[in-house]
Amino acid sequence: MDKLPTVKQRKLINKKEFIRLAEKVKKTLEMERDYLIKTKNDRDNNSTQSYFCS
Amino acid sequence: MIEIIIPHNLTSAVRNKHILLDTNVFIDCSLNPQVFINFLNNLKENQATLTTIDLVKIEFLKGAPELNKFDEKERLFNSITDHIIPITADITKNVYSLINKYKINGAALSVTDLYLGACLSKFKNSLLLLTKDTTDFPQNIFNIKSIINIAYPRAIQSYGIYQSL
Repeated sequence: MDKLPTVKQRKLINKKEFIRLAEKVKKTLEMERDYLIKTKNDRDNNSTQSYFCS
Repeated sequence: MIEIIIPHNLTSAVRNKHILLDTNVFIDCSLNPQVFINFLNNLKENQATLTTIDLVKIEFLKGAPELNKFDEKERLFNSITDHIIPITADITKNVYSLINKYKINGAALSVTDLYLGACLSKFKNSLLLLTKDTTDFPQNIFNIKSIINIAYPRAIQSYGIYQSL
């Protein structure tokens, strides 16, 4: 039977450091979300282009 | 006030298991760290090993606009995971089997979801999947071991804990 390796020392997450880091990552994810919304609009506006080019 | 509602069977379901984390877990941890940190540490204290695959890591990291943002995301990711399951040839072989099991329903699946499912197939007895994506892991292929609800001020979201049948 296939077995996964045993991880003997599971590291607990440091609460203070995790929350500090997550606040920064949250801002990055918001930037990425805004970019995705903008590029989705751009893509939707060009969605028929490939049909006419072929 | 955001609250994770832990089902009574969760502790016994996850004890001594590896839990495969989907990308949405890492995103939600970043958005609501105060809520998720206690939950994740609780899993670790119950002898669960938090694991994932590189495809999930790639999904989480991609889009980082600068090197320091990439580093922050990677540090957050690494602080959660205890282990990354290497993708082997037999896991990829399981992906092709899964495609045949999903049939037409697989058309909208991401490659990452297929690999997560393929890992569950390989490690049937010891690996569980934690995901908010509850539409892509159907019950004719996967067994729901537990459901975790998160109560937000204006919504309830559910995470499933899945195991391969």
